[in-house]
Amino acid sequence: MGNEPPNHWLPPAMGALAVWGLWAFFPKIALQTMQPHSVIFYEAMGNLCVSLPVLIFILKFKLQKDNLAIAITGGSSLLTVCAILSFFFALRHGPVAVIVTMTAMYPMIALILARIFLHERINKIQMAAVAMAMASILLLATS
Amino acid sequence: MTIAIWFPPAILALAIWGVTSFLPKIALRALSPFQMIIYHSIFFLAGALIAQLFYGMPEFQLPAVFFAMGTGACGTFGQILYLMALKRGPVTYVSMISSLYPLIATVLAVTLLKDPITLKQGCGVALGIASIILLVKADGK
Repeated sequence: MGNEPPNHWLPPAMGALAVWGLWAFFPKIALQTMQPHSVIFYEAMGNLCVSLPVLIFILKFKLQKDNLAIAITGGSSLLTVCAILSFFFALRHGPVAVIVTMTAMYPMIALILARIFLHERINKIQMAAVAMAMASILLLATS
Repeated sequence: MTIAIWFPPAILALAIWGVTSFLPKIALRALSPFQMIIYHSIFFLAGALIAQLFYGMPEFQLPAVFFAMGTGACGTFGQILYLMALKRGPVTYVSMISSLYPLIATVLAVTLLKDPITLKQGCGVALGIASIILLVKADGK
């Protein structure tokens, strides 16, 4: 850490921003000629194109085995497939900017659930953010 | 007031991602981030295969296949870059920068696809992005 420049985290953060921007944009093109279920199948293949080199070269085929964590990851991944299918159905019929922005506001849902079920406190900034997110959804929904 | 056809599935995606957003935090207690990326890819493929059972075999249309595979590759590569950035820098700034990806998608859609958005939708997008920044900023406090 000591010899590294102060903003050495910036290039990977900007990289993540750029490739996630592409992640949200590419399906709109793919969905012009293929159905959502086909796009998600090839998306899964694309995932493997990156994760297999990680398994081979970084992890050297060594996988940790924690049943609970694997089950949670499995459940989360399967729900993610449902979320992405819904996202693709929406993207097929609506504008990219609106749908990508709306679905990117998911931390708001997590915040509300944490307040309801975990009784976590929500500070004023978070309340303002939730109110803005809801106003934004209302604007987008009624456009 | 009419609700657009894309609205219900978009809200469903938002709700599912909201519910699942905290699950990886639990799994990360026992698995390293790279391990989780591998398991996620395996289960994601399983889920995608299950989806084929309901809809039939996947179509094969070029260049859509490349864009669909690019979607998956970008999603996973983005995760790796995000983890690299998190390892080196403050979570607030890293999360804030990377959560601005709707801006990139918006610029690409408007410039390359001439995807039309109304003034009201533009205001909604701007307000939504501002709320995402606030949510990330508040989370870091």
